[in-house]
Amino acid sequence: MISKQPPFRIRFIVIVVFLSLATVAGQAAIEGLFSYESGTKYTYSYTINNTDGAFDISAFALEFNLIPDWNQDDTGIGGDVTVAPGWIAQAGFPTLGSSAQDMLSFSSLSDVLVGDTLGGFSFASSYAPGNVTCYEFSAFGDSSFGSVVGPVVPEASTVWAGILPTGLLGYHFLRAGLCTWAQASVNDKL
Amino acid sequence: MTGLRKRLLIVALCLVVVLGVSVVVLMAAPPPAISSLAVAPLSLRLGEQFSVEVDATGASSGSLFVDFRPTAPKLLRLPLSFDGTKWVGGGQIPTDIVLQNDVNITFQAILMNATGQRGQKSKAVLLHRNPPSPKITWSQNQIEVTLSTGESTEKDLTFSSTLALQDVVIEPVPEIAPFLSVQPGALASVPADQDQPVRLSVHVPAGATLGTYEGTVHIRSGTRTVPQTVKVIVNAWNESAPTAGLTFNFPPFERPSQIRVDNRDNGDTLIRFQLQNTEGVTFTAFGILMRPKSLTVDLQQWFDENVDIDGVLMSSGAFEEQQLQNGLPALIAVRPIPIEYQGGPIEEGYMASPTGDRIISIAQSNATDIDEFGYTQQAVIQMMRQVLGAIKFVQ
Repeated sequence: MISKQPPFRIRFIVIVVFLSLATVAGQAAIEGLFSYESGTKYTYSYTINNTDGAFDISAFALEFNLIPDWNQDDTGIGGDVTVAPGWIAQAGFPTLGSSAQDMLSFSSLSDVLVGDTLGGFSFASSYAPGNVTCYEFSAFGDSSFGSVVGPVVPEASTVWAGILPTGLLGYHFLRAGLCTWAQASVNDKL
Repeated sequence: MTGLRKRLLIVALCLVVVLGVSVVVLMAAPPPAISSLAVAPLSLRLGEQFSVEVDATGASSGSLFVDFRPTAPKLLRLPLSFDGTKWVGGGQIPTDIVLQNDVNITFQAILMNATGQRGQKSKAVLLHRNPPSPKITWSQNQIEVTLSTGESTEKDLTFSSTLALQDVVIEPVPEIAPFLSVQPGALASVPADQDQPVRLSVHVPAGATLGTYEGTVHIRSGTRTVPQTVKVIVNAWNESAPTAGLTFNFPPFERPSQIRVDNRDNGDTLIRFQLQNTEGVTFTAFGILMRPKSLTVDLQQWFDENVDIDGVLMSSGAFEEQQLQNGLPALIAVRPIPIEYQGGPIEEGYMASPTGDRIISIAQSNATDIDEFGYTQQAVIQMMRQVLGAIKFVQ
């Protein structure tokens, strides 16, 4: 999504949200973004920020209370899911929710070591954004969890309670210059 | 120049074609085909080792994911390596999972080919709620000591565990705890399959109620008590006055007892332990016989020449050598006497004095009055072995 810039004559609205999982010291963060092009799907993008993590990340899982409307295993060219090199995607076993999107590092060579950051994870869904539970795992049984932006079943109350504040939060980051991708989109729009 | 350009163009085209064909071939390569995924054992416990075998074709690398969700947010990844015929790997189930019930966990083998295409196969494996039970092996299953009040003795033994243990406590049950101390009584950890020395110190305090006390020494690891124990029997008995150069212990009886010594012409000395039956008649419960022995003959030789002349008793296993509580070796009757035996009367046990100049044996009286004291025939034999083993020699 970072390199994908909207055309100059824009007839659609772009909303950008930046939410971070890294709220606890010593815990890695799964950072989530979403974008929306009117008439199409939401695209959810994720980055593993293990700068302050306690263990190397070999997998993360997003848990939903919905039936995914994307092919969770399809990481081929033009597929519904994109992953970083050396990673695979598949439907996982949710710990609490009704479905899960797993992102698995195939070997230790592609793990996100403590201190490192790795992006390149995304999928598209028609479900609107909200907060979903996210688990991160090491290859040896460690885990931690938090919440991150992800697709949720829309409810009238959560649409306004969730999107509007996060949209405003995203706008705050745009204005603060914390998200270069967001700035580019807005500049193009202008 | 034109010719050179043409040639370069042809070479470039060829390279493009070769590259394109290679890409097409690689992209067309089928994903790895997994025909089977075997996990052993198929039901696991916390902390247990497992192994996997994957039959697959067309793979260049492999990983195994063990997924504990939704039971626990835990995921293990283990490498699979190709041993020439199969993809193999293994690992250990973590111990830090809290299970309320037996659950299924998922083993998933994922194999990739050179182009990154994957094949995968999953298998559900039962995870038992209870962790594996360690099995303890003690160097001795039973210890029996006979002491009089104020006396002490020590017994050294070892145990080993099939699994590593943490927070280990070695303790006697309350029935024998007043007489027993265990060193060490606690260990932070015990490695698997290693002999661990333990010393049992037995003491019958002055004023203790005489009798026979039975119990076990067991091992606890955390909150779990291991079922394999050592049986401990403490005979807190009376001790005789020095008689014919020795003292011996005997159980407390509710009626008067006395000791009679007969010095025979042939040099033998017979110590009779006598009780009164319910009618007040004195009878002999057992006798300790002392016979002179040549110093050049050991216990086994003496036994072969004087008792087991045909060699039947030892070869049939009716008698065996045992180490008595007093540290002396003895030949003890442990099985019925075979009918092939043609010799004379046989006593329950034989041992040599520490100086080697006497044979001390113990025999049951023909009188059956001791039944009145609640002793079965087997209990009498057991009692006599203890009497023999607790004999102390005095000047």
